[in-house]
Amino acid sequence: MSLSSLLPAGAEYVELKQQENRSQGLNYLNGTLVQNSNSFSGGIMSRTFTNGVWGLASSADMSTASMQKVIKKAVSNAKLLSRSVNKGKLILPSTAAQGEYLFYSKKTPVSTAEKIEFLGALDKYIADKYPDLSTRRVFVQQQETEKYILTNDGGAMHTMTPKSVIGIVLMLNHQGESLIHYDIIGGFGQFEDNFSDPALCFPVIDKLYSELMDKKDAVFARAGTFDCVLDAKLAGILSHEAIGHTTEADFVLGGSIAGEYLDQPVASEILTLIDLAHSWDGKTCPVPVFIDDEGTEAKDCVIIQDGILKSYMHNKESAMLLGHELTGNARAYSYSDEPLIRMRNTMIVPGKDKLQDMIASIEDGYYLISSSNGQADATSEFMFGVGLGYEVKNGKIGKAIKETTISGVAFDLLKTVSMISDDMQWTGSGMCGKKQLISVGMGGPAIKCKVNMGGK
Amino acid sequence: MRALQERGADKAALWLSGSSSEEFNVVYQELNLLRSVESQSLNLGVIKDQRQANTSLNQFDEQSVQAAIDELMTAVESSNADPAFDISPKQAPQVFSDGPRQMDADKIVQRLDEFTTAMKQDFPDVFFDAFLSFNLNTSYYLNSNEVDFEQRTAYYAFSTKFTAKKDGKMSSFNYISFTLADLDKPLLEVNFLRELMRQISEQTTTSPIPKNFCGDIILAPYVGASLLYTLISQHFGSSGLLTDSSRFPEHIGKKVLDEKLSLYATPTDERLADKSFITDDGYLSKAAAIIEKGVLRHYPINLYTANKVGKPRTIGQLNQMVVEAGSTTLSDMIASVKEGVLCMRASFGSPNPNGDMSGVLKNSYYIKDGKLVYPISETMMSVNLVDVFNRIKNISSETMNLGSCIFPYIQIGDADISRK
Repeated sequence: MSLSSLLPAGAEYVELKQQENRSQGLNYLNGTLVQNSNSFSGGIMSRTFTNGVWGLASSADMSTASMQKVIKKAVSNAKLLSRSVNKGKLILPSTAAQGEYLFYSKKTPVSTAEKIEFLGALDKYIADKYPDLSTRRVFVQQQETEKYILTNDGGAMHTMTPKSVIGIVLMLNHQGESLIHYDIIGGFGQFEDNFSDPALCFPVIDKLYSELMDKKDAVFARAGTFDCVLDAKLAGILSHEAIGHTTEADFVLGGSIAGEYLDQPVASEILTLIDLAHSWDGKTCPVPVFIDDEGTEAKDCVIIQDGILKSYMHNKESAMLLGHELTGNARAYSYSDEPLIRMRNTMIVPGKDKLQDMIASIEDGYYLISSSNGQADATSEFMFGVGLGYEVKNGKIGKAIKETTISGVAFDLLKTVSMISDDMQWTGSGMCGKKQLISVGMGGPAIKCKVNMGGK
Repeated sequence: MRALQERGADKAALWLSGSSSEEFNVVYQELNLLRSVESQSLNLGVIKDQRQANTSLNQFDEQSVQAAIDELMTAVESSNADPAFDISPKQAPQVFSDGPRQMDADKIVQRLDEFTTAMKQDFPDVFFDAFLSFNLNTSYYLNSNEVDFEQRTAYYAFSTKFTAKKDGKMSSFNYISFTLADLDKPLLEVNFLRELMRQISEQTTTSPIPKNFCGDIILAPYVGASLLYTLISQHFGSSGLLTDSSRFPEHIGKKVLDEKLSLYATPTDERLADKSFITDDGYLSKAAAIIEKGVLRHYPINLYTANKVGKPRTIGQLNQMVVEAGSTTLSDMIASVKEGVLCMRASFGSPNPNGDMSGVLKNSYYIKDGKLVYPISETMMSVNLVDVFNRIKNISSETMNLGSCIFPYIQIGDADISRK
């Protein structure tokens, strides 16, 4: 599609976008395929910046005539607003880039029937091997986002970013209580790239079942502050929720506590935290962004380096307002959405410690493994649900704990980080819900720190 | 519909909808973005040999629709059969219309200008973003049992997120979202918003509770509604019944929650701005008590769940709800608390299947001997969700109308409250 001929002349800043979101959901519940669905949502959008305000218009009609109408409407929206708020001519910064990044699988396409067969094999494995379960659920979710974006400052991109995951949920009725445990595997890539043989998923199921059995004897966590090891998934969500959001520049401009901390120590000096654009250690991250939705070249944003808060994540407007460099963090979920400052792949850089040594160093505390959900505050106060965790006494892993919540002030917690493991793990299934749902990558090593536990 | 049946569907259903939205955004405390969205969607569902599949698309040209039908009919062949799959039975055609006929753009700008001006003047320490939008939706539901429904709904939606900063100290953020049928009142005067702004202004200085204790929590409407909706979903709705994890699987007519609590499904209640005349599974919506004085009257489940678990489908899934107000004022509630917390927001994880959960009490106040003492920091509650709604001491006469739900303050007892 040739969008360039449609760019209006003389505008301060204009974006044009055509986007398609394609998804598929397959869901087995106790042997019945209760979901077998496909979805396609596409459309066009234009956004313009005039006299310090934005006008945006969008339509599902992707014809050239519709695009012309949408551009006209975006311009008139900006004009309408600028009657109430006219800041004069403001120049948005620009590091425009051009490129095509299409991550279609090179493998033979897998049909819907074959995916259902794959899921059916997982369901049968669980039903045959673990008949004591009260409920089993296995599902596939695949999403593909394809975008063409053109900006009048020279940005041009065509991307197709896929994600495919398999979820496994196991439930057991035990002495009048329902126990639940689940995991999600996969991430960046189409189904063909991530899943080739159901048998490769069987060890994940066996591990899940074993951990579910641990929950039969689970005890309540004790309320209070304890030495804990947060495994990679929890450390990843901590990076995203509790630190990442406070350092998004729109949050900073909205009063986030991180606005007070630039170039100051905010964490243990062994800790470095980065929002990666697209690659780490030579590998593609779960949510690769080479050019953002404002046509800006995406760069890694080192948020905390050796314990010092070094930078915020930006879109064009926040970089202009704060006089900082662009980072390429502007992203939108659907064709009709405005790009917001969003994290891409947030991670704590691995350290030098071994996970076993970290656990062994705890006299009385917890090893916390998986998170059910998380929320954080502009103060960096956070809350995460813990789905799986264990007591640690005298350096040894003990009983599983019942689902609980951990909380604290992230910038305080990070100052207590005393050990960081030398491995790392990505969670590629994450969705962040800041006004619009969007895929995010969260990763990192395990960290040892002091954590406030909810409990009895 | 005809094409689906010609391609072999035994039963078919479709939703066709078109919507438009004009969204005025306040960013960094000033009008910043006007966003116009036009969208449409077509959702097709088929049942063939008791196997089901569905697809949705938003391109309506003949080629796209034909491709979607081809894909759908291929997908349904790969499904497995379940006798529980079905569509709603024949019902008389109906057309519904609700809400303002058209957007009053000048009024939107006026209300937002007024809001931002008042915020800067009355609450100078508060940082805020907000949006006010006009949303218009027209939907059609048709199925092969000759059901033919149409509904047109329109409403205004307002949302704001805010935090305060003073002398280098800052509060937690708070937020509220609601829908409105009109813009007759200044936004700050709706749903206690001015009081929430006053509270956030004084929450830049907080203190921990003196010690861990077991006491009362007064749940603000936003918090109580969220907790009760979670409880209903987990134990009375489809997820709890289909996964055999409901604690109340055979409890129609039995007391399940505190007798002070009455919860009604109110899909077309005149007080609500955001109504539903048609259910997701293709029935006419109807009002009913779900919980009446603590007694379970209906499981809010859809047709598939009802068939699957062998229960009658009565009211469908819960979208709009009203909790009956009590007779105690909020100030009398506070006065009755020996030691407790007024919880204006809570950040909590999903309860486990038994209802055990803990959460952080945000924007909240310590209560001692009947008086609000100070805003608190880093305080957690550990409760069981079923117990919460079985330990109700009082329900307030004041309510908050969020547009799809009306909810009072609820005072509960015996909650474990702990400090860092």
